[in-house]
Amino acid sequence: MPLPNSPLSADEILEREFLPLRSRLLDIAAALDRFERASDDHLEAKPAEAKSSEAKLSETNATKMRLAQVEEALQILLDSANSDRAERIQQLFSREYDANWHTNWLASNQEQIGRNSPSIDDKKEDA
Amino acid sequence: MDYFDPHIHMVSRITDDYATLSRMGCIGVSEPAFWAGYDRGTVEGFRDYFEQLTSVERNRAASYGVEHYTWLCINAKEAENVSLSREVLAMIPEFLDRPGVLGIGEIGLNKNTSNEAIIFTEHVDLAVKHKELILIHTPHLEDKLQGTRMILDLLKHDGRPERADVLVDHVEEHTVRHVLEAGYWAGMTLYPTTKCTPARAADIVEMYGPERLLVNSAADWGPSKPTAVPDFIFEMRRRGHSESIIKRVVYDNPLEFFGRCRRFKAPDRIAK
Repeated sequence: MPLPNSPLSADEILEREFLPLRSRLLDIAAALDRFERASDDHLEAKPAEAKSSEAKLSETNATKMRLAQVEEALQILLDSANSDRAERIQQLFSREYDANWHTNWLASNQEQIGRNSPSIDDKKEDA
Repeated sequence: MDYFDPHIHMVSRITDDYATLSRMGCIGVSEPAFWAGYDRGTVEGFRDYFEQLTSVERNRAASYGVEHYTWLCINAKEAENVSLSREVLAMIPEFLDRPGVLGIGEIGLNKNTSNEAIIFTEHVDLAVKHKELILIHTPHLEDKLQGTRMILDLLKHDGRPERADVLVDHVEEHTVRHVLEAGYWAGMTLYPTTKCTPARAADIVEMYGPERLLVNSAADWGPSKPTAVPDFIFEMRRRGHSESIIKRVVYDNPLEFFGRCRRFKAPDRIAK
């Protein structure tokens, strides 16, 4: 059961959290600025790195995906509907769960599962 | 306030940490077997590790008035090696009756692979057959939600472990509800960057209540803070929560869970 009444009022929470919030928002802003400055530098003439085109494409796709996640997370921050931002951002950064995984795993590993399971008879007797 | 740290890797901490923990009110630490930062090569390496957990660490803790409890397993990361895992599983019973051993842990998943799931089920089987408590590691970061749900599926499919004998650790905002609704104990780990913070743990206690919730530091050889549980106590007090609610999470709940182990002996300070 949730705790019945929060000891602090909303005003008291904001009073306490305002400066840390401001600080963390600045950290986020600075990190995004840092990324964009590096991206701008990359677009200007720089000596070509010895990477294959596949490696570069993979890096670009990974970067794009992560950026998209960051942008979606920022959108979640602005959504005040259900007081569940932390949970939703955790879910955003999580791998998908497949509800059928267990059935498929059992089918693929029939010989391995349960094989050589230690039994109570394996316990060594005390001398 | 006296407290327990139900998940901390003291084998990787210096003795000064025991001195600090003792001064901050820690009366007992519970240390699961974990990944040392490299993959051990043989079952003898694990035998030596279990010897260290069950003897050296108990003595080191005792010299500062801290009771040391431990758990035994091959951790999720090394469980990818199925043949080595089975050798370790066969060896574990040699140590189960050592003083301070609470059960099997920290088992779980790491990258949520098939081999990890196989060895997880074999650990559960070992725990059930020897009537042991179970402490479970849930994966890091993007693997946590998927892995936690897979772990809960595996436990449900097995069906034998008593809910009250199982602690699912490292829960966060997106996994705590699944663990509590399934009836297990849930541990919140206060660890920099990759896990929870004292403030977020306090939020979780406020949202779900203190029943079946524990907090720990999981302090290890990486950047981590062995005094994280006192940080949680401080945060809860700053918010104006009662001493009884705080004590429930950091003292009563660990005592109740550990007490389900037939070998459990409460710290001397409590017994007196």
